[in-house]
Formats: sequence, C-alpha cells, structure tokens
Amino acid sequence: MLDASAASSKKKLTLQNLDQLLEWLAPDRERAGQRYEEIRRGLIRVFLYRGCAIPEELADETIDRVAGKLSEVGGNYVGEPGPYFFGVANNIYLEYLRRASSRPASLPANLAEEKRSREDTEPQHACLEECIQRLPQYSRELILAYYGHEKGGKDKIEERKKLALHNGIAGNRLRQKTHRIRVSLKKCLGQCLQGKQQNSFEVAP
Amino acid sequence: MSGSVPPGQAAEQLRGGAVIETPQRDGETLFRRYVLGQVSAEERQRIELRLLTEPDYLDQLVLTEESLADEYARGDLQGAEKEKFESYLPHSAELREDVEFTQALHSYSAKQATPRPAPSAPGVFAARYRAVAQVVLACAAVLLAAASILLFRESVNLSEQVRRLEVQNSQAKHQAQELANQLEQTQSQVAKLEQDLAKLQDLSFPGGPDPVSLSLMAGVSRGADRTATAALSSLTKQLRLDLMINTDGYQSYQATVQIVGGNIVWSGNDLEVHQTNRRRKSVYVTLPAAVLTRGDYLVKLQGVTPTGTPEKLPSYYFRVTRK
Repeated sequence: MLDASAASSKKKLTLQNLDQLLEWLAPDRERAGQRYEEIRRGLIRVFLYRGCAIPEELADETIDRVAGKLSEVGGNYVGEPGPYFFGVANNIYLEYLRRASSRPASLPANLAEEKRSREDTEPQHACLEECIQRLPQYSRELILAYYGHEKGGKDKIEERKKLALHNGIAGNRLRQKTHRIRVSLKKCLGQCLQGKQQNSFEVAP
Repeated sequence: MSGSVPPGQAAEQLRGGAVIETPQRDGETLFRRYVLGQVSAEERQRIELRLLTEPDYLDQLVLTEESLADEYARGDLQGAEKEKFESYLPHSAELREDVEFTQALHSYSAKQATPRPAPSAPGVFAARYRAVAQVVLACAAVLLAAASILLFRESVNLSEQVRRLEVQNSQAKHQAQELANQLEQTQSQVAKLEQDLAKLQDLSFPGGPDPVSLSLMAGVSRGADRTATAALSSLTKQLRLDLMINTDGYQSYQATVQIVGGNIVWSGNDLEVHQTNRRRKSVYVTLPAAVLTRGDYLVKLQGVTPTGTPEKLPSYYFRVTRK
C-alpha cells in the first residue's frame, strides 16, 4: 500500500496513470504498492548520494514521468521496471544539474554535537524508555548491549563482535537483528511522540 | 546490468526469514564508500541500478546508513567522511531520524548504568541456546548410560557364551579321547579275534573253506561196510582225516597215505595230537584233494617217542569216491 509520502507524489499523477503504473509493477495490487515504495526509496538514495538537495522531489518527478510515459512504452518495454526508472532518473538528474537551483544547501551545524533543549529531548527520552520497556526481553537486552558501550572505533567493533559471538550469530546478522528492533522502536517512538494512541501504541520485537 | 552479487556476499536472513544476499565485509565497504562518495562512476551506476531492481540490496544500504549514523552520533566519523555524511542530513529526513534516534539510544543506554558487559546481556536467545544445549547434553548422557549398560550386558553374555563353549570344547576333547581309546581297544580286540580266528581256521580247516572230513578209527578193515568214504567233488580242495587214537605219550606223529596196494600219495611229520572231546584224541591229517583219486587208501601212523624213535601204530582205511 502507498504511504503518505507516496501520496504526495500522486499530485501530478492521474488516477488512470497510477493504476497503469501499479499494474505494470506487479499483477498483485498489494505487491505493486510495495514495489512502488521500494523503487521510490531507491530513487531517493540515488539522488541523495549524487548530492541533490531535493532527492524526494526528484524521485517523485521520476515516477511521474515514468507513469506518464507508460501509455507509450508500457506495452513495448520488456523486463524489470527498475532499469527504466533508472534511465528516466538519469535524465531528471541532468535536468536538475542544469537548473540553477540544483546547488546543495549550505551545510548545517554538526547535528551530532547539536545540543537540544531539555524541553525537546525529555519527551523523546520518556517515549523511548517506554518503547524500550515494551520490547521483549531479548530484543531489549540486545539493543541496549549493541548501543550501550561508550567507546567508539575499534573498541566498538570488538565489542559488537563479542556480542555477535555471544549470541551465536554472524556480525552482519547482528546488524540485521538490531535494525529490525530499531525499526520497531522508531515506529513506536513516532506514535508516542505524536501523542496518538498514547496508551495503545505497540512495539514489535 | 548484472544482477550478480558483489564479492563477499552470502545468503542470510532478513525480515523474519526471507533469505537474501547480503554484503559481507567487501559489500559493506562498497556501500560505505558509495554513501561517502568514494566510488567510481561505474561502481556508482552498478549500485544505483541494483538499488532500483533489488529490494534486498536496498535493505543492505539501509544497514550501512544506520552504521554510519551510529558512527556519526558517537563522533567516530572524522574529516572528509564526516563532512560528506553531514552534507546529506539537511536533505534526508530519514538520515536525520537515524542520527537522532541513535543519539537517543546512546543516551538512554548510558543512563542504564548497570554494568552490562557487552556479551554479558544473557538474553533469552542465549538462555534458550543454553537450555537446548543442556537438554541435548542430558539426552546424550542418558543415551551414553543406556549404551554402556547394553554393552556391559552384551559383554557378560559373550563371556558366558565363551565359558560354555570352553566347557563344551573340553567335554568334546574328553569324549574324543574316550572314543579313541575305545576304538583302540576295539581294534585290539578285533585283531586278537582275527588272530584267534586264523588259528582256529588253521587248526580246523588248514586246507581251505570247504574241507571234507572223515573220522577214522584204527584197524577198521577196508572190506567192512563201515569203511569211511569221502565223496569228493571237483570243487573239493582238501580232505581232512581225523585219526582217532587210543594212546598218547608220543612227542609227535608221522603219517603216510597210500593207495591200497599202490603208491604213497602223501606223507607228513610232526603231526600233533588234538583233544577233540573229554574222551577222545585225534591226529589230524589234511590231504590235498588233487592227490586223491577214486579208490581205497591206507593211512599208516607212527608215534615218535621223546628220543626220536618212530613206533608203528594201527593203520586206518578210507575210500574216496568222485561225484
């Protein structure tokens, strides 16, 4: 299914184009929506890491253009949609570079060292604590052990190797596990901070 | 574009069991270089194309982004790498959230001052493994014990069988020895019996299997009706004469057989006396049938004294007929 960010890109899409695009991505409607999101996330990375200042807009522009062209190429294009999106994205990128507005914005201050006000961080910490406490015991202990050590650099790498070894998994698998826990926590945190369903939000392991 | 996996990648699981190809050290380094703007144009193109065609590939990039956000939040990123990463933050809400979230996690974890050696967070996962290991070890111990008991029982059974076989072997040897002895005794008896039989045959029928015998009394004349007659056939080999005697005391006897009024056909020395029953003694004379033709014969018997002197004894008569 399409989320809110995807919905914004639909402004320039006609309903017919969107239907045609989804049908092209996958025969199953739900799978097509999932694929749409995956391609959009990929396009955002492509533009972001090429140094574009407006990666999300460019990604949506790419999708709009592909959808608009579908009536022309949809029946003739053979293979994965991905490469076609890639080709269109390259054109969008060149157009972006030609536009004067393509210059990246000035760099912000070091966000890592940015000191937030107590008012900003307290609700976040409270929600985070609540979400962490809702995690299953194993997930909670794993995520705290993963991020708990204070040292960085080689020490951090060594500590995480030990953690992976202790849990009987490879280092990459450990990263995947902690990633899943992070995703759950972030979702929980977002719900908590928005104040929606303050007492009923859930966190999956 | 190729859909192949970069070097160093291997299959692992993500998203609750889906098997994907994940970059290991090389792939992870490639993503890191990609994000930090350190790849060639060709490498960039390959990565970007795969980001749009392979959802799992994108997931791996997300993991690298989290790692970089973690390093950035810790202050591990320095110099150009730090600047590059920071350049993305104003343009990516997702990266900013990653950094902020990581900072919050570090902050929260730091508050949890309880000593937590990195691998010492025992966890349900590890505890579950330990429990499974304990169960497996317990099962192994039980199996080992059962196997030991079975082996011991089997060993005892085998020992018992060996003992029984040894006893049986010993008994068999003993029986074999007894049988050998019995055989030896039997063979000995048979040999003795054969000797006795041979002697008896020599004594009774020295001439062959079908002797014809005549018992002759001394002095009975040839003209009398009581003249002993031997009816010899062509198959008869020998004729045995039983010369009954009334006297004894001679060392041996000599005999001659002649046709009445004719030639001597047989003579013999060192003839012995046989006790044929309690009252009667006889001198045996065995004649080859071949020397006897039809007719009357006279047997002259002489006793040899201990000094070697022959003495005349009464003569005997017999008749031979041919069938």
